[in-house]
Order: sequence, then C-alpha cells, then structure tokens
Amino acid sequence: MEEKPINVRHPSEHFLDELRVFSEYQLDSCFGDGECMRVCPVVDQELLISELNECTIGQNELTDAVTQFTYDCFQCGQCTIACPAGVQRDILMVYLKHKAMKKGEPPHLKSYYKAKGISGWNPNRPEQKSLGKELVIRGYNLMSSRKLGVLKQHVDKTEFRQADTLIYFGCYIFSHTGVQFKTIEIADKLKLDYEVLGGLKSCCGWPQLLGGRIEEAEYLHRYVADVIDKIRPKQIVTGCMECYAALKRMARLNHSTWEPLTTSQWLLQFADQLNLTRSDELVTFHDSCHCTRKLGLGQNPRNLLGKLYNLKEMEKNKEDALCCGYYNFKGNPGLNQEIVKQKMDMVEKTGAKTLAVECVTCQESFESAAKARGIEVADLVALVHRNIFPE
Amino acid sequence: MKHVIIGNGIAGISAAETIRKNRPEDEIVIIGNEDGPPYWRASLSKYILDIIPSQKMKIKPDGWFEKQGIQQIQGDVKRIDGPGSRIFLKQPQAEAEIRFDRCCIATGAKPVSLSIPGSDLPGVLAFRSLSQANQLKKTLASIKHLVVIGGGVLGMEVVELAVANQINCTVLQRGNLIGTPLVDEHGADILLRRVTGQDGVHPPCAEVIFGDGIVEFCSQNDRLSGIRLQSGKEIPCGLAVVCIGILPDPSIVEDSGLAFERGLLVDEHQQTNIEGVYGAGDCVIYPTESGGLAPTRTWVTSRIQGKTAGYNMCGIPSLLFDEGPMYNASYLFDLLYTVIGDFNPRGGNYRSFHHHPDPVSYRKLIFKDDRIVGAMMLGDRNGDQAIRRLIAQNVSISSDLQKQNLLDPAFDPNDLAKEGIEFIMY
Repeated sequence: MEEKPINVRHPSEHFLDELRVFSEYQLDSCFGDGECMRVCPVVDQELLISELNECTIGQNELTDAVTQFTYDCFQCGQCTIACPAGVQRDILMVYLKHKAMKKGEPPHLKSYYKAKGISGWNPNRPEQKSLGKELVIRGYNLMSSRKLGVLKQHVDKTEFRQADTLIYFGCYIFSHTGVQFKTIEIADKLKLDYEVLGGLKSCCGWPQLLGGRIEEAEYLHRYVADVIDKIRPKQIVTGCMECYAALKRMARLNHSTWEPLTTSQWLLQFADQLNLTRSDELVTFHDSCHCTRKLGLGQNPRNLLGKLYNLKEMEKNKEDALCCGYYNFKGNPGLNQEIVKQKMDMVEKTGAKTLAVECVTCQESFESAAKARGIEVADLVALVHRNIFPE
Repeated sequence: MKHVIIGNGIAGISAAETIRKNRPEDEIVIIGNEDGPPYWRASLSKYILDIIPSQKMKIKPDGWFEKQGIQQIQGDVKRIDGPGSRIFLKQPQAEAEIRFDRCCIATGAKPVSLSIPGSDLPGVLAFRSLSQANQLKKTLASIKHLVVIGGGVLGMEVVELAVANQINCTVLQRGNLIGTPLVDEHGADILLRRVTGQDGVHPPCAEVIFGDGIVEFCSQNDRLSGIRLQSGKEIPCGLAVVCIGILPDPSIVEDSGLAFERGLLVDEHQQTNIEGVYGAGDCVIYPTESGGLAPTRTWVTSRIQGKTAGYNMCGIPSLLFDEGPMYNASYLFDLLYTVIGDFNPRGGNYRSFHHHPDPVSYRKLIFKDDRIVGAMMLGDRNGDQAIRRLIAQNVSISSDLQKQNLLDPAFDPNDLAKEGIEFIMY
C-alpha cells in the first residue's frame, strides 16, 4: 500500500490549511509548563492549558472560557517568547480566533472592527462583493477623506504610475496623528520618485489575519499585491508594523522583487542626506510587538533614535516589552487601560518626556493616557520631521 | 474494532486520541496503573516548586475520556498474549481477560535503581512519577544537603529544586560530561560552568564530582544520613535522588511472544514483531541503520510515536516523524536548549558548523551532503523554528557562507524565502 504522511508539512497554498496542520503539530511539543499563560497579560489565570490545547485541536469546539480568552488575546506574542518548548502559541491563537469568528463577530469587538472599517464580515463571502460592505467602505472613505488634503487623491485609487518607492499607508492614511503627511514631506525633501497608496479597500489585511478572519485577509493580500504589481516599486515604506508584516508575507508568497521597509529602515538609508542633529534630550522607546518580538527589527529604531536623542530604555524593553494593547483599544477598554497604565509608569521611571514609537496603532493606543501625564507620544517619522523642519 | 492501549502517559493518550479522531465508532480501552488522571510528567519540577498547581497538571480536561468514549481501567497488566490477542490484568481481578483487535503498548519506563547497600532507605528517592514528586516535595523542606546521583537532564532539574529550596547540592556523574545526551562536549562545558558558578551568572549552585561512584548509602536511625564514594569520601546528606536513567520494564512482555531487547522492538510504523500489536513512547526501541538499537525518549517523540501508532492501528499507514524531524526544547538547568533531528551524529559523512557568540551560549548545525539534518542550540535558540523547518524540508544549502549565516542567532528566517523555503506568517 502506498505510504502517506500523517500531515502536510510543506506549506500549502492556502494559509488556513497550513494553520490547522501547524497548530496540531506545534501542540505535540507542549508539555504543560504553562509559562505561556503566566506571562500573558490578558488570560484568566484559572484557565487550564489542557482546556486551551483541547480547543485548539482541529475542529474541536471552543468552551466559554477559551472563547473569552480568544477574544481578549492581543496577539502580543509574549507567550511564544516565554514557551520553553518553542510552541508558537500566538499563531495557535490565530487559529482559535478563526474558529471563534466562524461563530460570528463578538459583540464587544464590533466597535473595534467598525473603527477599522472592517465590520460586517461574512466568512462565506470574503471577496467584499456585498453591496452593504462596499457602501460601508465608500461611506467611510468619503467621510474620512475630507481632512486629507493632498492625500485625498490617493485613497483607494485605481490608477497608478510606476515609481521606485511606494509609500503605503493602508488604513492609517486616515490616522489623526498626522504622521502620514510628515512622511510625504520627508519624501519630498529627499526628492524621491514615489507613489502613494492607502484606504480601507487597500488595507493590508493583517488585522483581519490576526483576528482570525483569514479568508478576508487572504483576499486583501491578493488585492494589495496586484496593485503593487502595477506600480512596480523597488521598495515599499510603511509606518505600521502590521502593514510591514503583511507586505513581507505578500512579497514572500509572490516571490516579489520589491522589498518592504519600516520607516526606521527607510530613514536610516538617508540619515546623512537628512543632516540629522542630535540633542541630549532624554527619549524612551516603545517596541511594537511586531517590530521587535515577532520580526526581530528592534535595533533599527534604536539606531535612528541614537542619531536624534539620548535614548533611555524602559524597564521592560525589546523582546520583553509590554504590548500597547491596541487590539482592545476599542473592544475592551478596561484591558487596554490597564496595559497602558503599566506602560506609562515605566515611561515615567525613565525620566523621559517623550515616548517614541514606530507604529501608528501604538501611538493611538497610548495618546490620551500619555497626555494626561504630560508625556508626548511621537512617531519616529514625526521626530525626524521635527529635526529637519524645525518650527 | 476494539483497540486496547496499555499505559496512559502521553504516548498512550496520543494513540487513543488519534484513533478516536479517525475511527469514531471503534471501541477504545486505555489501561493505566497510576492513581489519578494522566499528568504532564515533564513539568513535575515546576509542580514541586508550586509554580504549577495540581489542578493544572492534568493533560486532559475533566470528563475528556467520557466525552471521547474511551474506557479507562486502572490496574496492572499481568501478561500480554500477543498471538492470541488477549491481555490479562492483575487488578482489579486476577486473570481478568481483555481481548483486542489492535493493541498499543505504551507502558513507559522505570527509573534505574542502584544495587548498593542502603538503596531502600527512606531518603533515597527516584524522580519519575507524580507520587515520587510528592515525596520529594515533602522531603526537600526538611533537609540541608542533597546529593544527585546522575548529572543528566533529570539530574539538572533536581539541582534546580535544590537551588530553589536553598539546599546545598552535590552532583555525582560518571564520565566527564553533564547534561548528556541533550548536549555535546562543548554544550556540557557551558552547562557545567553555569551550574558551578564559573560563568559568573549565578553563585555556585552545586558541586559536581566526576568519576567517583557511590558505593553505599549510609544511615542513622534507619534513615539516610550520607553517602560513601569509591574514593572513600563521605558526604552527609538528608536526601539522595537517583537520576541514572530509565529503562523499560521487560516483565510486561514476558511470555508474550513480543521481541524485547532493552526495549520493545518496533519498526518505523511503531509495529512490533506481532501483527496488530504496536508500541510507543519510552518503552520502545528502534533498530538503527547501522545495526544498533536506539531509544528516543523525549516528551515530543513519545507523543509523535503515539500518534503514529494510532494512525497505523486505524489502518492509515503512517511513518514515524512524518510530522517532521525529532524536536525537543526546554531548559537544561536554566539554559534554554533546542535539539532537532540528528544533532549529535557519530561517523558517516557529516559536517558540523559551530558558533559560540559568547561564553554562555552555543549553536551547532549538522549537514550531510549539504543537507541540513540536525541542530543544537544552547543558551539562545533564536530562529530554531526556522531551522526546524529547514531540516523538515530536507533543504540543501551548498555554500559554506550560507551555512555560517544560519548559525547567526540574528539571522532573518525571511531571507530563507530566497532558498524557496516558506515560513508561516513571520
């Protein structure tokens, strides 16, 4: 009889298939140490790892306790760093989120999805063809584009010119932080040949992927990759670490020749040209979970900050850094506030009055709590912009 | 079809789970001889340290066996009649007979004990089961000096227990390496420096004595009071933990017709010499390509063997390690380690590449004909999942520079996409 392997260990074309197989074979390594749960900022410490594992396997149903944990999970990845057996629990949680989402959107997360402009997902129709969804996106784009000025023309546009650099904003083209405008101004000063893309239809799909809405994420990845093909850039710059992770994945799956860059990677290329000047002002840095823990890029922002300020690390930094808690920013404000409070305490201990970030969502999550304590939250792009365009 | 699994450790449970998933209608019986539900054996030290409470030690949630329709029997197997497809139990009633269509033997292994005077004294313990862990926990609270006999992986866990309880500790080890077989010579040196405080990370945690074997457990008031070594040296201690390895119990297969040689002999399908009878976990041993025999006694391999046996018992042909190469990761003392595939090969056309980024970490990759076949990481295991994937996919890496790059703990797995290797998500 022909021998067949138990599992597909080679990557499949369909991410979900791989995720299911991956989850099961990762669980083979779990020996119940429980460190993943002890370091988790959101899990109920009474939850048993046996229950969590059981729910993760194949098509097994989720218990109420696991469902709640699945909804609350930030995707910060602390569990994966902590696991002595090397289990990538954060990825297993994506699979659990997928199973939970199949039951429908959790009521308490609807506001989060609404804020991201991605509510109303139909798992059976990820292609966004429903008229209702189309109208939601168009309406959001219309309302949110009013204040975009020069960027308005780029929202979900369908005509592109070829350019060496693509500045990709995704949904943060609508961010109130203004970092997107500063990015453009720096690109202009550098006299770069660039094209811009942003908007909900051109979303990177990463929030959907991390939320378990995998079919929708796959659709968005394909859509954005197709658009990028038309622009034929050599590099794509993004100031959102989730967008960066998504672009990295798209590049890999499509064997693309373009390279995604974080804003710190991008700005470091031009450090000499920008004539950056350094001051002795104390600044601390928040590592985004994706930047440092998941993608291992934590040194770039430090190198850039070192050219501008006196960097003082927080008590928990780099791989041990505390998540910004953005995922629960809208959905479960209580959890978000607790995390942000801890972070602000750590910032205060450094004595720095400025908290630098390299991800727009982190900035949004911290802003109001920081303001109340007299701390400024500033994106690296904003700090470079301030350096080269002094007021 | 009726499946009977002897042993309710991780291998037995994995077999039962796999059978249930693939054969919802089949009858499954699992026989275990320990009190209480199956537990995370590899986490017993954290249980002793009260880091893991007892309710979190269960591998399966309450009611799992009932929900899966798996009948549990607590008792000892007296004899297996392989050709006759029967099992006789010692308990609950003598000679109780259970017939099977398929059977999986997953009885694990027992700690090896020392045949020297005093080895049955109170205060001389093994460390393998939950009940032994409970004994150990109780004794640790009342002693000042602990002797660990055996400086292997389990011995290092016991040293950690001594450190946590602020007890002086002496480790006796045959040969001149500790932490084996999970580390090679260089890894053993890093571990030794850590345990004895020479690397400056901790104060000394234990004294390690090489090559001076124990000849007697000494007693006072019918309790362990110390040990005496071949050299004549005496070490007073209130507790001695014997960690000199584990061996399968041959009595399980006496008169069964099953081939047994330091372990139950199985092939890569987990099949024994008798059709319909399979083996999995610490009780089995495999013939190797070079004609020898090799046990693979780790938590992960036990689980994978159990699953492999389960698939084959369902009539779904499966090979061991279809899921990927052997993988094991945890702590050795307080050093993180990962071992993957053939990480310490002997002979053959192997080439190894080493990297020592600092005195407290070490990594090594093993290549055979340019194919990466094994890896060992100690102290820092960044990128181990990527290496695991490379080994699973039998990737050929021709240039020495690329091989060296893989050794860099800061290497970006995404760069491997250029080699045609796909990684999940990140």
